[in-house]
Amino acid sequence: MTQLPASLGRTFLLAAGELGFFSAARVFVRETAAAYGADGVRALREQHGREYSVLDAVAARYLDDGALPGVDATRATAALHGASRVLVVGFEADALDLLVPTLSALPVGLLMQRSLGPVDWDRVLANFDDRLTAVPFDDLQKWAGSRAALLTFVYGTAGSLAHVSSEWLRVMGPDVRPQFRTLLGWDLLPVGPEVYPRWLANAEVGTFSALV
Amino acid sequence: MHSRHSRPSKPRHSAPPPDRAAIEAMLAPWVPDPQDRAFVARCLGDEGPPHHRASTFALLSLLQRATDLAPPAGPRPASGPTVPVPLRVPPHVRESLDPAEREYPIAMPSGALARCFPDPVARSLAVESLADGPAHHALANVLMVAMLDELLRRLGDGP
Repeated sequence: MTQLPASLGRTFLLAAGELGFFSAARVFVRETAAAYGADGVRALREQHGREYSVLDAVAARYLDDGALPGVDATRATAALHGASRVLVVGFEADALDLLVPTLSALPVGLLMQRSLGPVDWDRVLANFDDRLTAVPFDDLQKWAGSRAALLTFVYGTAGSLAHVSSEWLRVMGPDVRPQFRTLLGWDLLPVGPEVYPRWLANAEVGTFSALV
Repeated sequence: MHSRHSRPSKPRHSAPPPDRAAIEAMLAPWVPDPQDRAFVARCLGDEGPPHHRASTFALLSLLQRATDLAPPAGPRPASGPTVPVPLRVPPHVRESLDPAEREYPIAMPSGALARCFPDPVARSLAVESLADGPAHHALANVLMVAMLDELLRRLGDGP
């Protein structure tokens, strides 16, 4: 079995804070494959998969298909058609890189709330050329409206449960839900995790107005 | 045997949710946009305490049945007096919202209320009470008033 650097897990967590679990997993699997081949990806799963369910799922997909799981913003864009603004809860760099340009002039906000630890928000936002507005948690409801949308990322489902970042549960209070027309979940890992998602939380699938 | 003072049993919380498609069909005459309709139907069918959702659905279904059994009337007037239903946000947040999005996409017809409550103070109190409160409560009231307005029109009360 390939020996990977012992600090890789902590490095992955740091990257996931600013890229998102899915986007960071794509980077780590791609780079591990480039450096060590499929044996290295197997080692990545073996050594860190149980701790990081999204990394495990992305590595499994790579080993099954020989390719990273893709990202397609088509359905998310369609689900947001007609929205007046979109507030993103949670963060996935690869997904937002694709989605934000398709929303043309629509205001897009990013809730500055991450449960994974300190995030350099200026560095995160700098990649979007002012197209993402930083939204402090206290300003959440200022983005409400009869055509407003909330969006979060889903990391697979298991029965009636969707795996989401815990920020989504902080936002989904019974007062906030009727203040936004659309509550969109974008599932980046439709196959779902094979291991328990320790870093994620569960939301009922039926609590989204749309899950794409 | 239950004593006179025994409390009624609570509704089962595991009961199936109200039929969203049926609610959307009830909303169609007043909310033409499908996304707006889905939004209001979610507030009626999925938000709020479970026993309120179930009772709302029961009352709406009865009103729909009464309307269906009432004699048909001509087309509804294109525009009648209505009252907007404010989005339920804290007052200090309201000013921050886009002015075009401060109300739910359904307005409460006020024609029948005006005939029922000719006194403006009583009418104002009725309107405020119906459109105030949590979103589920206010929107359920508004849809019921809209359906009653239509039912009364079919019975010859109203234009």
